[in-house]
Amino acid sequence: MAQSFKTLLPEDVATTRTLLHEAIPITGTIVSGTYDDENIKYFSHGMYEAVYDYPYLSSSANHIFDITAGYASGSDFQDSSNAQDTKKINIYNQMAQVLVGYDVTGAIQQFDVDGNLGGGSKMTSCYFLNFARLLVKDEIKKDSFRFAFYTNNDKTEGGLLPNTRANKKTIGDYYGQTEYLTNSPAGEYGLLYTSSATREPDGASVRGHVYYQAGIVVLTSSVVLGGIPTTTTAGVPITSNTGSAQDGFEALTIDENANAIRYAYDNVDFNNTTELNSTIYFCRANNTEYNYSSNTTYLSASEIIVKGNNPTANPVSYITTVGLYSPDNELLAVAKLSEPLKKTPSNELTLRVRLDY
Amino acid sequence: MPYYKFNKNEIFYNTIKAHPKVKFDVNDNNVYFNNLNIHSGAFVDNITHTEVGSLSLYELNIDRPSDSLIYPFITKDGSFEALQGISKADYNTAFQLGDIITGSYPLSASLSRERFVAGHGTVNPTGSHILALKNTLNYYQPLSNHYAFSSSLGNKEIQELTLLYIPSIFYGSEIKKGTVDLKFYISGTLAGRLQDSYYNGELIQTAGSAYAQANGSGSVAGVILYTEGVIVLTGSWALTEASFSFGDITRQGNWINFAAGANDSSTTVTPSASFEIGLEGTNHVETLTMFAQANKNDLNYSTNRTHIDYASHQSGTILTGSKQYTEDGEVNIYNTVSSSFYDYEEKFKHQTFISKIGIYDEKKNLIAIANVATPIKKTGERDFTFKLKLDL
Repeated sequence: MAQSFKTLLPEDVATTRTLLHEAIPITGTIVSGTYDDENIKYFSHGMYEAVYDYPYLSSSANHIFDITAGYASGSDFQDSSNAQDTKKINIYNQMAQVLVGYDVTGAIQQFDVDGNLGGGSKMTSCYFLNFARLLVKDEIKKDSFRFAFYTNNDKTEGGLLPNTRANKKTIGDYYGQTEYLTNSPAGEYGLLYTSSATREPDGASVRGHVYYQAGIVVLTSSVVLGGIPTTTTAGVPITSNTGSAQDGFEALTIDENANAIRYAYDNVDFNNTTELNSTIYFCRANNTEYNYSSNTTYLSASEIIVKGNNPTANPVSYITTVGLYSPDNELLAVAKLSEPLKKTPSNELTLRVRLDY
Repeated sequence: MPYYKFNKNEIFYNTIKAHPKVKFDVNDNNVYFNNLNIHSGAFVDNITHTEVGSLSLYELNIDRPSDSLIYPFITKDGSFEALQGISKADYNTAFQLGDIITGSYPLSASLSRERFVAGHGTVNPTGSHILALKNTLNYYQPLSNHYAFSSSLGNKEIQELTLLYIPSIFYGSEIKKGTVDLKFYISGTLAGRLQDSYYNGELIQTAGSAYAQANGSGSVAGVILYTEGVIVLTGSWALTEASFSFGDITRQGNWINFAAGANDSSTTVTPSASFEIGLEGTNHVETLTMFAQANKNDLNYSTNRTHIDYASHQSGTILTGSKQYTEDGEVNIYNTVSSSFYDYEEKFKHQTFISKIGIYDEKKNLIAIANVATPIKKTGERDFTFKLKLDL
């Protein structure tokens, strides 16, 4: 191998970032119905439930997201006599302190409807969907999150069974690409609107937030307009619902509220993002360089084999490998070519060596 | 809660070498991996969307119908990044800058076979997989002359042979020497067996039917490239007296016919013939081992509130004022020493129960917690060393 070192100059090194995406559809049949809730894991603490894409006792199952619900202390729905009152407050506080942070007094700030923490309406009772890192990867792609669900479930129609659900809505971060917010300690987030066409200036059409890097969706309880179903932790919806979201937050456990969301759920669709960071080294072989090899097979009886016994012919070599060395000449990386490249004084080559990390 | 600094003798970096067992069975044009069969789901017949005997790289689309599969995509820009299956020509011509290039999941891998007829090197002088292995095979010649691409033992460019490709996802860094075991069955009866008994890559016939042993006992039927995951089979002696169909040829069974039907586009392979490939892979797992010392007379106090005697705390004096809030400094520690005797209280001893160990970085950020299975009783006379292991 030729031991001809060439120093890489600043203009020979470039860093790039490539974004790789995956389209993630999560249909409602996964979340409820198909597996008789064998893909829903409940926990004895009752603070959230986990949704898998297949019965979770199977080694093939992947965890896809968690659902939980909570409200702020002192909010309209909060009452010490509510089911799991403390846990609902704790859930809200935990999510709020991570996603919204603290104010100057050290108090946990509440989720703000339009993201302007200085004032305006707050989301004091929320459902939370925490998507697994397996699906979110580095972050959710902005303006790609769409959540379709049924907002109205008439009590007289017998609950939220699929054939009785009504008033399907789709919410999304329709303006996330350009109007995402950055005042969250968990990264960037977008506002979830009911459609791209209707957007009211005071944030009245905002139904929640999607936190792109954290992979968390926060839905205000008002997304459920007509009612939510009463469900058991065994996952079977009871034939009639209890009425409003307020009823659910007051009378139902967190698991039952999560089940209500599952049965109102129709479809979630988003794209994730994986950042590929690369350094590109442009290794340039000028016309008078790298035309000779110190490989022992290069010579036979002191003659250069590849010159075909013609001493007057131009030198020629075949480049098969590029070695990257540290400043003290330690070999750090080797780049192999798929096929040898012929190098003669009549040509110049630039080999683009990319290192991903 | 006290902090202790790990000294240099209390932290070790080790590499664990693990050897996962891998078994392929080939029968009737199917490959089975570790005795796993396909698993049908609610939406698809095979929940992983892969052929039986295959591994799915990410296992993302479990039991998803074809219209709701997760798939990757990328926007064409100046980075020259594309997805698997997009040729360089397509990338340059079929897509414009800003176009979306989509791929598909699952990405799967399985055992595959390629048979080379006699004289193949003459018919296909370039582009042959066996020709591509010439340098690699010659590189291992110091291990055995049977690796030589061309020698008195045979010329792999023109002799009939079979290559078996084992993707590295199955074996890791390399196939463990001495673990390769190939079995050739006819109607459930062992016709021949190859093992790398000498750990040098030679696949030697070590067992089989009387007929097969008479023809080739102790003979070398091929070599294995441990790091590359390729098995080269050249043994052409007959293992069976009768003839069978091995895909594209009907004849007496030999080692070149081994694994016929393993993703090799064979049409018909006699169901009587079945093949088993056993091996062990090698995985290197980097581990960090930390020894946390709990010395005598250390860690005998807890900041847990239950460590304080509640009654004593209640009866203590609390001083309050506009500039102070001072609790009683003489509150008793609750005596947790239990007595074996009825209605008798043991004398007080410092005693704590260690339930977890926190690992902090140099800025005292808690970065890991090790929980012990049951709390460990710590007294002044006792010292402990906790061994914490972390896979990196």
